[in-house]
Amino acid sequence: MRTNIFFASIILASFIACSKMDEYNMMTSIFVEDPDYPGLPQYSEWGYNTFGAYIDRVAFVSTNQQIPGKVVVRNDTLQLILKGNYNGELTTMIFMLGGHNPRTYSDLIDLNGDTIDLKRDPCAVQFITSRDTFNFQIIEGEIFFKKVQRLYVDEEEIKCIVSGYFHLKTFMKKEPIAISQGRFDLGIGYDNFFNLSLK
Amino acid sequence: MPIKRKILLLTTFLFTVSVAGSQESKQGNDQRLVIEGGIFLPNATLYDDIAIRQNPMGDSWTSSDNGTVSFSSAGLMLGARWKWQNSATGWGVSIGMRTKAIYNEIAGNYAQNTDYFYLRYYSSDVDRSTKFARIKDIGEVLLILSVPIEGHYTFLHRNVFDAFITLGADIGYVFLRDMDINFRNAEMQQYESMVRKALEHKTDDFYGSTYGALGVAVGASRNLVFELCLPGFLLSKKYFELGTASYFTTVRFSLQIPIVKSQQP
Repeated sequence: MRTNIFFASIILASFIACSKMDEYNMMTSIFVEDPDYPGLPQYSEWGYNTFGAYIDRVAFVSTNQQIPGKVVVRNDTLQLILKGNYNGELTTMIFMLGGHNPRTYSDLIDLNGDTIDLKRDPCAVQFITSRDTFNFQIIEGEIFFKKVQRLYVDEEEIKCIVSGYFHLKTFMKKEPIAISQGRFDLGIGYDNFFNLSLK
Repeated sequence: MPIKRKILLLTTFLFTVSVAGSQESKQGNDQRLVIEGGIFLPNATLYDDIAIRQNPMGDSWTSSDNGTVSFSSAGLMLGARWKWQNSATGWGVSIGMRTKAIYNEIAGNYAQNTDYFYLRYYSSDVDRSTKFARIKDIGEVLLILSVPIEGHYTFLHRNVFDAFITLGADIGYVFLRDMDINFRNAEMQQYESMVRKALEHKTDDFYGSTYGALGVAVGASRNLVFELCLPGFLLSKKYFELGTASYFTTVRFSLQIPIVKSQQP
């Protein structure tokens, strides 16, 4: 009897281990470099958990150490938080998109095909480095959610893949800068979606 | 030159050689039964439109090319041919039957914890969803029955071996085609038909190839033969459902059993 329990425990433990590995594989970043824009990931819609953009000539790009994207919903505002590497330091860019209040990560598909004008629409963009926090004054810019889709693995919904482009012009330390060729392909699920408006 | 024309020219050439050989000298004409076996290696590459999601490989997050799966294609062949050989001129011709069993496989990356890969089998803009299946491996089997016709010319005679070249054409039919999908989660078996649909590609069942080979015959009566075919050309690129191939290599071993041996002059 004890032997049976022992073997059953091993089998159960191995199943648990496997399912954790599966989650891990979908969370990990896969960086396929864009041959046309070196240093940036190629645009994809696979949930590769990458993003990238040029800030003037320097790449701001996701890393494998940090969760590259999080969605936080608070006070009828959706915050898309991109965390990556810029000039060798950990940097965060936050798109605050007003009027969007998805209840769960599954509801993010309502963004599918949406283009948001970062100057005209109720939006803000924040850029945080280890030394400074910039609340960008937008000259012009857009974020385009080209494809937002529910991701099923083995017929079980596990994430929402949010893919698209962004670009904007703004000021950094009073100097005008362009953030160009921005692209993102993020898997948003239980681990990186937070609705703080829910009571 | 189109490959169909190459086969036609080669077949005409082989018949001409055999007729010329038999006209030229009745003396020295041998007939042999050739039992052959070998390895068939197509240079197959996976179809680009099979939607396999990259998996992370090792610690290098920039590693993505072919990082998730391996694709292999190999086969065995077995056959028998009747061979007419004129030892005086060195020319010979043979015709027979051949079966090839080819196995193609897409397998997950076993180097890390992932012994599976993600295959996208459904994507719809209507319900805005994408579905992946976790798959350990996909195997495709083909059985081909064909009629090979070959011309041979022995250009070197030595005490212990003869060296010869072969030109051949092989025309046949894919009479069995099957695919097996090994899911990570056994419950996904009920969705196999959907997954198979995602792998579907137009295939040709009429098989054709041309090839050249370099061989040596050893033994007292030169009855043991080893041949290396490099390269062979496939008539169509669309014999497989998982990948495409234009060329192949074969390594062939044959046993030649003398049936009729003419009297030496």
